[in-house]
Order: sequence, then structure tokens, then C-alpha cells
Amino acid sequence: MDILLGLASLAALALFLAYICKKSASVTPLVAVAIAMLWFTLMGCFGLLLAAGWLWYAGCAAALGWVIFKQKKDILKLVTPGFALFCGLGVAFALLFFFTRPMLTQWDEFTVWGTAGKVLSTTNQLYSTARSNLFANVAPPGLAVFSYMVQFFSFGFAEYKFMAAFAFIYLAAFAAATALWDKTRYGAIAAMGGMVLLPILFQPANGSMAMAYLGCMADLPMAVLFGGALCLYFGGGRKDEKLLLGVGLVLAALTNLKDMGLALALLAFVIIAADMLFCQRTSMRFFGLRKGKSWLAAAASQLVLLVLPYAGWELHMRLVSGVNRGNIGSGGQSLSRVDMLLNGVKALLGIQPDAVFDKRAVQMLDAFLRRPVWLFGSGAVLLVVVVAILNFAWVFSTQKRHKRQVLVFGIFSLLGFFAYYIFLLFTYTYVFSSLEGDSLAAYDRYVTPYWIGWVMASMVLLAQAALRPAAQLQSAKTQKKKTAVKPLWRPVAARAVSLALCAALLFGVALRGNWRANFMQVSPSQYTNRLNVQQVVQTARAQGMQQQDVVYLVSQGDNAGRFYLFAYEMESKLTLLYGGEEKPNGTQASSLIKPGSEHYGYAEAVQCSPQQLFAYLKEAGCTHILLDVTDGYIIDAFGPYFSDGLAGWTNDNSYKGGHRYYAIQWQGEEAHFVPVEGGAAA
Amino acid sequence: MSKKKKKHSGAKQSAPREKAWKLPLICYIVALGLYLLGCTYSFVQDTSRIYSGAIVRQAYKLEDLALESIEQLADENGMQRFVSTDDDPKILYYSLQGTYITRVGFNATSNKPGGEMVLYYTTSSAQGLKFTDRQKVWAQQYADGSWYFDLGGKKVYGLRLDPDTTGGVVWTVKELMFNAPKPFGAYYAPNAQPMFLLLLLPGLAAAGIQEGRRIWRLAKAAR
Repeated sequence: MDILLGLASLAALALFLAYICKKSASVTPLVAVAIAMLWFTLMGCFGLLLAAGWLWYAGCAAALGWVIFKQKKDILKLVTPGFALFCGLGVAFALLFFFTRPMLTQWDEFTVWGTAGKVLSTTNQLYSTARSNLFANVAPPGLAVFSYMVQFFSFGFAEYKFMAAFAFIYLAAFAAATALWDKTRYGAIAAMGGMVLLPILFQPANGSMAMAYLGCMADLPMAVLFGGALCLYFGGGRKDEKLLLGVGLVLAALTNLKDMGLALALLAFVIIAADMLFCQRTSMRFFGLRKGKSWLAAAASQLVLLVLPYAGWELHMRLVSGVNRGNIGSGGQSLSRVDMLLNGVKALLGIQPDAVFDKRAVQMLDAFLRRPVWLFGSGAVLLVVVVAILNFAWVFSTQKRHKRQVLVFGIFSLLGFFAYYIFLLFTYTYVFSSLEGDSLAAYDRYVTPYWIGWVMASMVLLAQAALRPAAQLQSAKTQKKKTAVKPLWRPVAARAVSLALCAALLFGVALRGNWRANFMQVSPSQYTNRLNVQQVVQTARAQGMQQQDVVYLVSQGDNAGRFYLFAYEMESKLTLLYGGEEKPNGTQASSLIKPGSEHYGYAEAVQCSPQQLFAYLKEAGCTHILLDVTDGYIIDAFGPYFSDGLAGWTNDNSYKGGHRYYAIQWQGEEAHFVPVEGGAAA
Repeated sequence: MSKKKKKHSGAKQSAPREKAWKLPLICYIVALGLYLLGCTYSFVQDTSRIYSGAIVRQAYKLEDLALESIEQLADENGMQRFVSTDDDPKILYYSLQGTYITRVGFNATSNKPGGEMVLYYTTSSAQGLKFTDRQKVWAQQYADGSWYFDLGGKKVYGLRLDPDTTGGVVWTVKELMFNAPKPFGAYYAPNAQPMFLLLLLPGLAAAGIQEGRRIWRLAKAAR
């Protein structure tokens, strides 16, 4: 349970920050998460992940010691309901995952996110510089380094710890959304309950297993950091340099999650900058600056903070691996981000009409109205709910300043949504392949981040209407010594609406949620493929597979799903598969079929004679071959080249025994496959 | 002096806090009680139905059932075999009379990983064979690797077992049984889901009730 140490380090840093900055300990866990992500990324870029880990844990221990030394018994006064809930729920999730041991199952987790986490934990290096045979990727490393921090004290990489790390990020952001409820702990618990239900609410009820808290992709972390940054800003108290820089750090961490994070961070920045400009200009402070100057300084420093990780990672990738991440085109066409935006804006304004763009625009509008993004339907319904929450916040505000704040937030968050939606439209038009674009692939996953963040921030504005004036009344009460000050009805109503919303969330999730297969109860049938691949790899290891081997995989009928699973499980290098003349550099999915024959029902069939494969093996420098699934063609045409004649393999695509792992011996241009010396027999 | 004051105020604060423990405690006890009651109820219900003959344990052969996207193969070692011909194979059963089903046992092995395994059910004869995503349970696994589905004593009119989502999977069926035996312990087995919910929900409910009461008090006092 070393992940509890990871949680403890976050809690320790959060307490320290709360003490030093005199901020609520409800909001500081989020800042601690952001600091962890940025610290490990920075050190990782210089190849110092291991040192970063030891320094991190030593630093957090020292920070906790310092707070205890200074505060002694009063340390409990620092603890807020939000902070306690962050710690308690973090332990609960860690225990749940410890006992249930969920596994990764989704495609992107093996092509990008899970593999990234595994590389870091097994090599103590970022995937840009690691000497690992796992497929490297170019996405920013925020999530992988955070998982590295959480499971720093374990040997190797564990998927359940990876999921727990994600849960810690969510909980930290949700705790920040309860900061206004610090003085009313029951309200804080209710608010936290509502927040924890949000990820479960935001998955369309399509009958498949509920992936909330199980999925390990960047979308939900982006959602909560986007929402968390807004909640931190609106609910974190006085707008001084400590708070505003904290917001900047969270925005920087958001940028560091995924490229789309930059777009979200910029939108959050615009909303926050607008609020500072229109509602806080007179009251905000920034290192002694006031009014316009403080606004300018705060906004500029936030902007710099959020752009830095993006630019830094871009530079790092160029220096280390010569990858130009600017190219985001699909299908071999090159396209820079600026080009994409320019093309998009031209098409949008009608300067340069684009048929694909127009088609996608209609699709996106239709998706907004019809495609389910949450348990209760489409985005259009959700927009009504969000506007209703903001309306309540506006109507029940007792101060003009709050009303203006709600209005400004409403206008700018709505504009932000339009901007985000149009940005998504651009990516569907210019970045995605036409096949993915036609179906608006993963539409709900891509729009959800803005929705969740929006709902989180709206709830905080509603809480503000409920709690701010109430606190003032309380102080008036104590001053005037029981001169009966009646509470105003509007804050009470706002509070009632807030509670009702949380209750509605609970009932909604209870009613519509999937209680048969979710993060608390998975079906083992989900894992049959994973376990099978693990078993094959284990057999191959027993038959002599070594890390330095270069392996060619034969998996007839695979659509790349198993290829990526193998790449994820193996320590050896897996080469790309023979792709024929169309894909001379190789591919992730190819079922070998007889030259001149039809596809056998395989999705990705490639005509390939033994000689063609041998030439490819030689060119790719393969030293070994791994048989996962064979068929009649493999047995008939390639059997003679195997020293045991592929004894034990049958031609019905099923495994009934037979050796799996062979070394390649070259006899001129001909490859011969022999079992590895010293390896176990079949 | 100041110390005394602090102590005094501390005692004052702790008085309502003691009271504050009451409601969560009640909530947790009630929730645990309800949970155990529910377990016992379903145990008693199933047992009484077994004795009254409403629950019949019955093994099925493939030919007793309707098959879709499934091709039956020759028996092997006395066990029935079939192969799924596409990625949505279905084994269908519809008595259309309403039969109590507790647990469906599917003791079968496949020659390659099949992926998600689910059981759909319908609860009215009018529904016919219109299976929906709302009425669906996912497969669980015994330690020996055989599969089962828990329906919890529902009165069902139709069942549909989707053995795999891969296609081309050869299944060897040892046994397909409705109302497969459910050991006494299984009624009370502490699964992760009820435990996790028991840990969190009562606390949430208590907080919600307290917050509601406070709002009520404030509302009464409000202008």
C-alpha cells in the first residue's frame, strides 16, 4: 500500500501550503497535485526522475515536520472538511482498488497512457529518453509522472495504483470545489458527494460497462483540473498573489496533461481574467500592486505559467528525439496547429468554403442536440441545467458584486464553450481521419471535460450565493451581541438548491447508473483478452524470451488490439508487422495470407509469401518470432521452416499446444526457426 | 485565565459534537441493518421458493434453446461444443411464463478469449424478446473459472446469453444451468461494491439530513 504514502505526501504538502499561504486546506491538495506534476516533469526532462522522487518525499516530510513544529496541537485547526474528505476518500479508493485489482482495458490506455505510466515506473526515465522497448509517445507527461510519484516506492508498475493515482487527482479537484463550505461541514460533505458523483453522471447510458474511475485517459483529469482551477479561483478566498499563482500552477498542470489541455487552460484563463477585470479589479492584490496593474501582472504571470510547460515539452521533444510535435495531420499529410486554426477560421467565416468543414459543422450541431453525453441525454439538456444553476446563483445573490460575478462568468463560460466546441469542430475536420470524423469518434469523451468543469464552477458560484452573506451575518451577530439578526431568505434558498442538486445527482446516478458493471464491480469477462496475452507472454518468457530480443509477432486475425497488448506486456522489442507494398514501414495489424488469395475474413489481410516475410524480417533486424495465433496458411507455407514443423499447432485458429517462441537462424536469404536453447519445451 | 477560557470553550464545542455523532451512527447502523436484512430476505425468499417448487434447478442442452450466430459442433468427450460465427452470438431462452431465476451457471471454456460476457433478461411477457441494456447482468466467475450470472430471484420471461464479443470462439459447455446452486455464504459474501457503498453512503446521507435540518431552521428564521 505504498500508494498511501503518495497520498500522504500530497496531504503533507497541502497542509504546509495551507499554513504558509493562510489558505483553506480544502484548496491546497489541488495545488499540491499540480506542483507534483510540474516538479516531476521538470526533473524528468533532465533525466532526474529518481532524484525528484526522493527529494519530493523528503521535502513533503520536512514540510509536514515544519507545520507540526510550528503549529503543534493547533495543526488540527488547519484541517478543513474538504481536506479531510480528500484524505479519507483517497484512502477509500486506494483500498477499493487494492482489493478489486482492476485492469486497464481500453485501446488508448495501451497505445498511450498506460504504456507511458509503465515506462516511467519500470525505467525511472521519461518515455522520451527511456531505454525501453515499450512504444514511446509524444504526449505531455503530466499523468505518467503523477502516477510515478504515487507508486514511487513499489517495484515495477501496477495498474490498480495507476487508477488510484487518477482518483487522487479527481479528489483533490473536488475538494477544492468544497472550499466555501469549510465552516459548514455537513454542506461540505454533501457538496463533495455531489462532485464525486459527477464522473459517474458524465458517461452516456449506452449499456456498456461504466468506465468512470476505471478509465485511465487524460480526458477526466483534464476535466477536473479545468473545473478545479475555476473552483480554486472562485472559492479560494481573497484574490491575492498566493491564490492567483496557485491557479496559474493548476493551469500549467492542465496544459501538461495533453495538448487539448492547453485549449482548456486558455479558456479557464480567459474566464478568470475576465472575472478579475470586471469584478475584482478594486479588491485584488498582487505582490503589493493594486487595481489595473495588479490585474495585468496577475494575468500575465498566469498566462506565462500555463504556456511554459507546453513550450518546454515541445522544446524537450525536439532536443531529445527530434520529434516535431507541431505536425498534427492525419494519414501522412502534414499540418501545423496554426494552419489548422487558420483553415478553420477561414472556413468558419466563409472566406474559404470547405465541404468537409460544413459537413462536420452540421454533424456537430446535431450531436449537440441529440448525442448523449451524460446519463440524462444530450448536451442541449445539460446546457439548460447549467444555465439554471447559474440563474439560481444570480437570483439568490444578495450582493451586487456577486450578481455581476455570476453574469460575467455566465457570459464568458458560454463563449468559452462555443470556442471549445468550434475548436473540436476544427480537430474533427482537419486532424481526424475521415472515417473517425464521419462518426465523430469519441465525441462524448472530448466534450465532457468542458461540461464537468463548467458544472463544478457553477456549483461553486451557487455556494457563494448561499454562504458569503451568511458568514457576514454571523460576524455581525457576534459583534452586536444577540441583537436578533434574521438570516436573509435568498442565501437560505441558494443553500437549499445546492443541497437539492446534490440529492438529485445522487438519485439520478442511482436511477440511471450502471450498478452491474462499474469501478466497484467489474466483470472478469472484461479481462479475458488481457489475461490471455499475459499468459502467452509468460510462456514465451519460459521458452527463452529475453529483453534484448527483437520479436516479430504472428497473430492472425488481429485488428491491432492484441498487437498493442503484446507491446505493453513484453520487455523485448516488438517490431511492426509486415504491411505489404502499401505500408512498407510496417503496420500494427496484418494477417498474412497467401499471395493471390482473398482475405479469409480477416480485417487486415496482407498477401505475403515466406520469402517476402524473410526479407522483411531481415530488414527489420528481427531475432525471434512469437506465435500467438496461427492458421492453415501459416502452418502449410511456413511450417517447413520451423525445426519442429509447427507440431502441435492446428489450422483452426485455436491454440491447443505447440511451441510459441523461436529464434531465427539465417541460411542465406532463408530464415529457419528453432526453439531457443535452454528455454522450456512446449 | 486564558487557558481556563480555552478549556471552557473547548468543552462547550465538544458538547454538540458528541450529539453530532449520533445521526451518522444511526445512519450507519440502519444501512448495515438494511443490507443484512436484504441479504437475509433474498436467502429466505429463494429457499422458500425452492421448497415450494417455484424455483426449479434445471440444466439445459443447446438444442433446448434457440441459437443465433452460433453453430453447434460435434460433441467432444460427452460435452457439447459450439462456435460463435460473428461478434454478437446469442443463446436465447423464452418460456414466456415467468420463471423465477436466481443464478444462471455457465460452466464452459473457450479456445480463445471471448471478451465481455453478459446475460439479458425480460420481465414481462409483453416484452417478448425485446432485450434492452437496462436489463442486463455481467458475468462473474467462480474460482474454478466457470461463469455465473446473478439475477437475484427475478421473475423472468426471456433470457439471452451473449457468450462472447469476439466471434469465431469455440466453446465447450460442461453445463448450462438455470437456478444453479447458490451457497448460503454467497448471500452474505462481502463484495467490493456493497462494502464501498456501505462505507460512504450512510455518511453522505447523515450529512445531507443534517444540512437539510439546518436549512429548515434557517428558513424558519428567515425574513
